[in-house]
Amino acid sequence: MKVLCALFLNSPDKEKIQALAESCFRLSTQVALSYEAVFIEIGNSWRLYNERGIKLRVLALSQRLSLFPQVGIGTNIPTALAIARFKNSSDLPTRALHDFATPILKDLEVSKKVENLIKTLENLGIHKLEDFIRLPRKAILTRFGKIGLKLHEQVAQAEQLPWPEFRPKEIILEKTILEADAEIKGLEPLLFVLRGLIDRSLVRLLGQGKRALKVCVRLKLEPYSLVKEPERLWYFEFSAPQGHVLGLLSILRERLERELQAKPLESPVTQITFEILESSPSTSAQRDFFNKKEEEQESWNSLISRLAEKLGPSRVFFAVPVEKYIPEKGWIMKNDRPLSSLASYLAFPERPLRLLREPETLYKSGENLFNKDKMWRIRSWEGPEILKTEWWVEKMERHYFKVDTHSGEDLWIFTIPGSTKVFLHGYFD
Amino acid sequence: MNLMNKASKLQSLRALINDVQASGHIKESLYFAEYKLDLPCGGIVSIGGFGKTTKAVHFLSEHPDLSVAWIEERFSVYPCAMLQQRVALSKVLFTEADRNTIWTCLQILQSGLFKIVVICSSFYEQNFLRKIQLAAEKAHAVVILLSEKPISSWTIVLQI
Repeated sequence: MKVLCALFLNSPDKEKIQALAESCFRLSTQVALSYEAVFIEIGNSWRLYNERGIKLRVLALSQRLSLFPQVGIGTNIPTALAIARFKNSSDLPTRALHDFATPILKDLEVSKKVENLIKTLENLGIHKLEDFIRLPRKAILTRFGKIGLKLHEQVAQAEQLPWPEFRPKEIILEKTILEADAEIKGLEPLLFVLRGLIDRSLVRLLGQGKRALKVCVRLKLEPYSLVKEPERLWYFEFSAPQGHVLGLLSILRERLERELQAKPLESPVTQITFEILESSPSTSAQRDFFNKKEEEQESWNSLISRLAEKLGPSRVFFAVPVEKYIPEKGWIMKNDRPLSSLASYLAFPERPLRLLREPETLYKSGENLFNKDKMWRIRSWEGPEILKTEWWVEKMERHYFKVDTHSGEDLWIFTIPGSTKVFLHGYFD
Repeated sequence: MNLMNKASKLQSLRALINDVQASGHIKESLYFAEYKLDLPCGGIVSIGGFGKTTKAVHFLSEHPDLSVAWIEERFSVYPCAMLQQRVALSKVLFTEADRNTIWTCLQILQSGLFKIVVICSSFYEQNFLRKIQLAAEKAHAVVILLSEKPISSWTIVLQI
């Protein structure tokens, strides 16, 4: 076993350490969290990362979360913690006994006892952990009591310490409280702050191998007496999962720009919260160096979501043909890229490339067809192609004709048996 | 002697021009076999008049491997007919942009995911065309404009 420890001294922000632990899942599946450090089991991923590489990665991830840890690598959790604290892997002082006594949970009572033991050891001239381990077991019990023996065992058998359980949070939330002098009222400064929050949220989410499907942005405004809405809230549901900051930010920008133009912020923002409410599993949490498919998929997801956000989800689609005789029902919209097309359409008579949403009534007078705007002189008729609906649904029969006109336009019209009406349904444009 | 000098200079200049033309200014293009035309990547091609959609669809069917974005102001193209013309529908992303045609087109081009972009709009402003031209150049994509009447603009490199 090999453990990397990222230690945070000076009473660190627990939320931030939790965030780092979550984002470290991209480096290893075994992550643990203590009150002051994050532990990552790196022994199993040595084929992917060397020690220096993984150290740099953890430091880079920490920086994104505005954390600055001391990093150490050891063969077990307490040793890695001690190495990180004393920045020394060979000569650990007896003070490191604190790390062996309470590596995960803080216990003030135990710490007090350990502190007394360390003082005794120092009075006896034992300043190094190595010297403490070398002491005979029998002598330890008589000289240092129960705590001495327990610590001696813990140091000698540190590798047998069970790996503590760590579960990432279900909902990822990042927020920032703005200082009084940071007057945020416009879109650009707002997006500047949001970018950091999105980055932190996504790095946590990607660590779990997931992408965002639904997010929420919440702004708390200075509660002046004239402010009607002291909290503004926006929900964003994406048609494709998002895992990239820039892609997500551009979707947010579109909507916020529109909505803040229509309804500007009434007072400066005091708090910004970004929350990931729903997520979906991502195919790969690691970037593939050998092809760009993943990056392309990322920009594809971003584009589709941006278009769907602005135009509406039903206006960005792939067309998938279905086996229906009625032309307007011959295809359906799909948001995902279809795998193949329906080959049976090739056997049908030629269809027009332009189809009207609703068939338009035409009037026929001699060799002329006309509607309220236009008139066509018929050159020739081709057909009919008789289309009927299935007998178990609403009964319908149409006789379709391809009409060649003198103006050069080819119309696709139909008649209904028993009726004199003629309907224009499309153009062979 | 003077004439000989001039002739040799002229010859060397011609050779130089040929070299420059051969090396630096070759633009990628997509061949349209039906019309025996090269549609330049990074340029705008306009197809006007009746039969414009058929021409565009035929061009798409000649390049079944390329990703296509089909942008319509008001959606009226019939995908089943495109399938009959042997267009790979799985490669065509349709968008109904309404009043956001410019924005949609720019987003699509800026994504760099599409090699062919077909736009069907009722009105093309000079400003719009200039923006599209710049975006197309960057994306290295063929932009096909479908219009009722031929469009007169310096941004269009080819009219069919």
